[in-house]
Amino acid sequence: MSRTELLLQELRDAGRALGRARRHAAALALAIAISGGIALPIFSIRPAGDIPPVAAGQGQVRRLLVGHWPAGWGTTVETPAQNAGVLASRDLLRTFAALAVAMACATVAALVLSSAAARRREVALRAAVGAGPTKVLWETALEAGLLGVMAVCGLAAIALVTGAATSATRPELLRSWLLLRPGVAALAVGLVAPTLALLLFAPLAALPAASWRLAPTLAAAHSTAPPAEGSLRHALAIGQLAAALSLLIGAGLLLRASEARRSNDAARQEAASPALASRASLWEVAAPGDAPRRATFYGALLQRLANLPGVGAASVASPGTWVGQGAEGSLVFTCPRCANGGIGTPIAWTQAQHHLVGPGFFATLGVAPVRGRELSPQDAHVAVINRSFEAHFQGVVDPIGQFVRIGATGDWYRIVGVVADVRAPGIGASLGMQPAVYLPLLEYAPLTADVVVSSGARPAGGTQAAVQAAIAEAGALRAAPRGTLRAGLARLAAPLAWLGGAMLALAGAVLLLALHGVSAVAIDDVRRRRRELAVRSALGADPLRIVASVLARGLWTVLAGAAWATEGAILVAWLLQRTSPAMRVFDVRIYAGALAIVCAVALVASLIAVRAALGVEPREALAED
Amino acid sequence: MTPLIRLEGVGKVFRDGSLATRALSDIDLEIAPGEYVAVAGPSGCGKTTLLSLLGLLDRPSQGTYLLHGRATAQLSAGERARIRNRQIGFIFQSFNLIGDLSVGDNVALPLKYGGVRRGERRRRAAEALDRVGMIDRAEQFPAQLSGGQQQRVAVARAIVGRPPLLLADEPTGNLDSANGAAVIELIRELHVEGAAVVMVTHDPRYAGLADREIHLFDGRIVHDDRAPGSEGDVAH
Ligand SMILES: Nc1ncnc2c1ncn2[C@@H]1O[C@H](COP(=O)(O)OP(=O)(O)OP(=O)(O)O)[C@@H](O)[C@H]1O
Ligand SMILES: [Mg+2]
Repeated sequence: MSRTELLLQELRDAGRALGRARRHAAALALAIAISGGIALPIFSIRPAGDIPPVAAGQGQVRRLLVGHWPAGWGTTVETPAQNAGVLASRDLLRTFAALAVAMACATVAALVLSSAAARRREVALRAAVGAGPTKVLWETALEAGLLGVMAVCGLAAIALVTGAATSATRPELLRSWLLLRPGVAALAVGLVAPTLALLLFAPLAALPAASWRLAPTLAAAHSTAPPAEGSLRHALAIGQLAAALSLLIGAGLLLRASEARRSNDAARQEAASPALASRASLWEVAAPGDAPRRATFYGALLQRLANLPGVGAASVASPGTWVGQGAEGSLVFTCPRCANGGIGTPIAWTQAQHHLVGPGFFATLGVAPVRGRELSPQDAHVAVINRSFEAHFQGVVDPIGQFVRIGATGDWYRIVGVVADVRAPGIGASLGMQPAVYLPLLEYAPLTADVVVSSGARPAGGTQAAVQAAIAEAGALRAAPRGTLRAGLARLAAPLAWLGGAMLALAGAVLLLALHGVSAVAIDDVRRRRRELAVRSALGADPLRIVASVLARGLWTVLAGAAWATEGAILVAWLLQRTSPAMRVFDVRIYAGALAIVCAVALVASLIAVRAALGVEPREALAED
Repeated sequence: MTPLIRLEGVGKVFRDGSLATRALSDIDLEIAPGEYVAVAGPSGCGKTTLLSLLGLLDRPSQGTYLLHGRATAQLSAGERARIRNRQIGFIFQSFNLIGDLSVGDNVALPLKYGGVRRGERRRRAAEALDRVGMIDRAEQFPAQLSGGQQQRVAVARAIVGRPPLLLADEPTGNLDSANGAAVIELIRELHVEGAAVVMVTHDPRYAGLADREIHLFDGRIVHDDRAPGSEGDVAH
């Protein structure tokens, strides 16, 4: 017989062996495919080079601030939704994908263990009739190889689908900066599981053949796994349930947060609706030192806009102010009766965002002053603060009439009003209580500004064009339309919902793995007790008692999984809070809902085992061996 | 003539944690090629253990085991497997058929590991099955057979490679007297064809068919028709 003929025959035998263990092999291939199929696309997500500055250039804003503002203003510009948010989203997604991959690897390990256990006796018997360890190793390696090929095909298919789904559903904010290009890391993570499986599958199964002690294995009445192996598999199933529960909770929290954010912003949107924004850049027309010329430009622009038909209100502000993005730095303020560590001090210090706003900015946005007033065209050296800043006055001092100073030296600004907090809805934005101070834009006219217009009842499209025309007429060479506020807010909020959806999909995949893991453990349990169950039912045991005993074990698994999931949920909550500080992470309804879903899955898994238990035919089971 | 099997001071101790069970002690035994030996003794006296040692399925705790005059202690797992394949046929107390394989494939398994090509394998498996009267069941699976039928398949598997040594552990233990007699007759035919047979049996009728009877008690040989070392005429 030629070598190729022999190899073909052995391959056919391996195929037949896989066919006999097809449920096992299919589950193994699927677990490998799922883990690789998830890992490959998600770990391929990379920013496409440097994150480019937003249309009018954050770099320009920074230069403007450093070059023009009074001493002590030393700041950097953070636009969280645009960079930190993107990276945070990616890291979050990677963390959860890694969790899903770990669970798939656990499934692979459990399947390899159980298949090795199931085959222990068969392999011992093959060895008894003359198969040496090399032969058994070769046979199992061939099987593993075939399985690997199947798994890699599945992996490629799943990776294509998940990759296409990821890139098709990606929100606009993430689209421009992330590419799906598999790198070394992605390939490494995606292929770790298959390699592990191949490495484990072959030698583990061949172990009995290499041992001197075939006799005890052959004498054992049944092919049973040692108790330690059973406990290990049980522990893995518990881990899968815990991971699925944690992911479900995370997905729920994210989706809920994006929902809550939407309804929070609704009020703002309704008041301002349909408000439009454009970004005007004066970089080419007025150099950094030419502040008076820019101030004239903004004054003329506001005049022009107010006279446009259909425009209810119009204003300008430094870039990102309308979503709470801006420069951040230290700030000194007077507070005659404030206590600082028990010591009364006339001045205090805090970290705060700085913004520049034109007259009528908050009215245009629909944010009413809580106390005092907002800025007017004649204002100089005055400031408006937000509610979070107001809290620093400790309720003992009226902030109106107090002074703030930017940095350790510089001019003092008198506080004339307090407004509600304006927050960015996106992930990665500093959503917490961020103190902010608003200074008059006409006093320190920036090179770049957002133009905000409330167009009343008129259709947004026509007004947008009119606004663009007005900005151009006023003398700006570059003006980028930013669309309606509603669209802008939705754009920023989209990654949160998308991440929630992605996490839900990952949770679904892990839940599927957990369903398999729990049912496999339960079925193994039934198989081990096959003879016992047969004897019991031959002696007239009530089938209900058998059902109850199988279900009890399933319930036990869920409870243990839930106990572990508390740790997982705390980790998930911590990660989410790092990414999105204002997120509410303790939500009883979501926790209970996720637990209910996991319980339902475990119940289904146990019922599968119950079916197997009730299917035990006393006559057949007792006739075996 | 070199004895086929030679045991010198062989003992076997099973250790299970702190618990040690002495299954065999101080066994000295020689078996000539072509000899037919019956092993008897009460339950738990070590008969299966002795057969496992002879069949290279386990290793002795003390003493040496020479097969064809060659020490077995230093053999690698691969060499042991080759010896089991070429020289030993084993009939287990519990039949030990592979449930996933058809009757025909079960019987052909030793040939497969012996490197026999497929067509030849089929032919010889059919021949062995024919001898045990199971040829019409070749496509069935073990679970579909009765106990006696499974035992006959196990016998077919043991004889398919024509091994010079046949080890049978209570081959009739699970069978009625008609089936039992048929299996014993098969084993006797093999012996007549030249194979050495070591058979564990409780049945004095079958033990009487052997050339030589050995009695084990509490892990020791308490009676041997022929003292070790003496040459005897092997009756056919
Ligand atoms: N794997 C094992 N671990 C521990 N003790 C064992 C093992 N196998 C056998 N024994 C012990 O060794 C002794 C001999 O067992 P063995 O199976 O050889 O008896 P036997 O003569 O074949 O009995 P039977 O006629 O009932 O088959 C018994 O006391 C048994 O408990
Ligand atoms: Mg025995």
